[in-house]
Amino acid sequence: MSNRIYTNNKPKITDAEIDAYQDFDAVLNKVTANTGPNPSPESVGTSYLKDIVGWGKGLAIAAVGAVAIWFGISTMGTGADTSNNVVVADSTVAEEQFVAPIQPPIPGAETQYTTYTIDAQKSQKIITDDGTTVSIEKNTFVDADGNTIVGEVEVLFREYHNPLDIFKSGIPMEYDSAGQVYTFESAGMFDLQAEYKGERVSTFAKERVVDIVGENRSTKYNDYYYDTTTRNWSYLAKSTLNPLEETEDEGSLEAEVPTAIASEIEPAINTPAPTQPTMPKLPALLSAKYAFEAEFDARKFPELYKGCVFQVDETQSTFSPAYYSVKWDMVELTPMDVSNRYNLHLEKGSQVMDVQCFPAITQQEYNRVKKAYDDSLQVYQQWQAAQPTAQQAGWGDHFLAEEEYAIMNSVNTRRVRARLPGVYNCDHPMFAQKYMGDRVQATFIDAAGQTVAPIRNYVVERGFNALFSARNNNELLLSKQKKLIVWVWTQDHQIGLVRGDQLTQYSKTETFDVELYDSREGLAMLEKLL
Amino acid sequence: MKQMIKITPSEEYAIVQASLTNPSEFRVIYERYYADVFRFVFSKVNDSDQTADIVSNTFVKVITKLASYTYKGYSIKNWIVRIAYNETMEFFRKSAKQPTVSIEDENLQHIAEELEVDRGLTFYEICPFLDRLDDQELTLIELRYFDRMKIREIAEIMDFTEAKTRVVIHRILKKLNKQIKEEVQHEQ
Repeated sequence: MSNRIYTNNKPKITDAEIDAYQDFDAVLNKVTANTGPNPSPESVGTSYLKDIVGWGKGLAIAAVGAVAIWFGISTMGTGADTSNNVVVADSTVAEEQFVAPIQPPIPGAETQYTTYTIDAQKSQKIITDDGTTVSIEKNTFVDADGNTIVGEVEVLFREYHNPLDIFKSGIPMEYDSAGQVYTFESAGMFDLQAEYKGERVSTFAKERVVDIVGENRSTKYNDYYYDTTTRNWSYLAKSTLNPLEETEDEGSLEAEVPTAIASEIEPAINTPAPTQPTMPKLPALLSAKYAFEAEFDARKFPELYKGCVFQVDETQSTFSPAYYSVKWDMVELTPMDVSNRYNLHLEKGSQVMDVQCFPAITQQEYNRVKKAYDDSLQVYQQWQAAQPTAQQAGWGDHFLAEEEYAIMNSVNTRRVRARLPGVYNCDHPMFAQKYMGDRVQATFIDAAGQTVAPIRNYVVERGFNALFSARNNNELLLSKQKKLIVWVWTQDHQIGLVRGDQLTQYSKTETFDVELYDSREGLAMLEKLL
Repeated sequence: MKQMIKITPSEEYAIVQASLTNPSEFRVIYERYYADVFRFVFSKVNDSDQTADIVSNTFVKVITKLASYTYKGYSIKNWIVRIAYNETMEFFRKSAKQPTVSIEDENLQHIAEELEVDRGLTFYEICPFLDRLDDQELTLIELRYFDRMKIREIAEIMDFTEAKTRVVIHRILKKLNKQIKEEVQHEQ
């Protein structure tokens, strides 16, 4: 038998005996001694504390060593024996000074891990609720001494798919490359850990393949790993985009979906959708001085008219005729979230450019295609009128709306190879200021007219998966052309939302009114807005 | 018998919020759940002094972690029990003491029915199978079949979703069932 004692005589204890042990004042004294009367959320976060325990110890010990040496030198002249009490006092100082590399701003609000218990000797595939798969070969896990782990291992996994997830995670989204700071636009991020007998596994003997689900099809992303020691992202590889694979039943550990719910969802998913013609778009008439031709795959861009050119949106991008003569190493056209807008990505050596543009045609071509457009539109409208309603189709509440169907079909996976436990991200680094355009010196005041002191401010463009956050807390990167949501995280642990109407008219130095919410209410508001 | 004042979950949450700035406000919740938490720990530790230490540490952690508590419309009790469970496991990891697993006869019958063992199981028959379970698996079985807790309560204590709790318990039962059947066949 193991180290448990089994008994069929349950230990008994009376109410009076239990009451004798009650001592709330003693508990209160310990609380006050440990944290002071008002512990800050950062100091009490459960999962973040768990995360830092392993290597936080190392830093604490190093700091103790450094302080102890200093203390030794400074007291040499006195000959005082300080060897006993110094270490105790300084270890406290060292732990208080330690700042975790990843700090969720609202402890407990961050996406929690889902735990999958697997047999370390079997190759298995975990399928998460979001459809991401984690493929683990047998004998992947090794202990601190490099020995293969035998038995059950708990795989901990969580993924972040939108700016709110990212905000709640506290994961830094800035990438320092040779002193140049970029902001990441994310196409999918996850945190992968493993535990064996309650201890974190610090390395994997084999790569674990993660196919993370995302909606973005662009090939401009790279894979990065967040190095908690250097506190910076490490470039791994160019992101690999896969078509969504059929999941395998055998050997898979599906996240638990209640049978009742699964049976309701399946008919809607498995019912073939009617063939849907794409809504035709009439190309704009070419009017500006800068335009270019670009070859594109009509299957990827069914909405584009073959033969159209791309006109530079000069309100959004600066363009020089000199660009025409450059032989670019990489030219890539990507649809943007804004309707009828495309991003032209140009790369040559270290020179990287992004130009916003839209499809356009010449007057002569316009006249010719207008008729074709009208015909196509008529066909589309007839098809649309003939579609049954959700009830008529017999799908009840589970009818997949056109938009939902489009989302389903646009889902892709990106393959990331994980050699170490930790946070991985498929990202596109971008210059935040260039993307936004306006750098504003901001002061924030609450409804009572009091100045609000932000720890950090955040800017999100609706429909764009990036969290912009200026290092200087009184500085905002804004754009009057973009639909932005701006908030501050205050020293009082409140979320202050900037009113949307103030984001279309501002000067270089501006005072913004914020509506303050406690952290939970603020998160609920952000969830609605994002 | 001590008279307990009834507090609704939302009233408890108001106390939690007040305790964030003034921890002494937490006294009401402490007094309300102290005995429940004590019994939960005591059933595993089987030593009243050690249990009192663990429960004291539990409440210190509860108060210092209040900011991370998420109110879901239920009582805070199971969140406190979750912390007590972690503290108890930590105690066993650090000490040489062996945890106690108490199986009363009526509960034995209950789990035998769940395992579809028609002839029932004796205490001495089931122990070797329970012993093959890891700590978390055994805790789930204890909470469900020995402490007769609801799935939602167990989910709150283990920090699982209800769906996950159901599935994990189902898998454990399936595993136990398979092992018991194999053993029976082997004996035959």
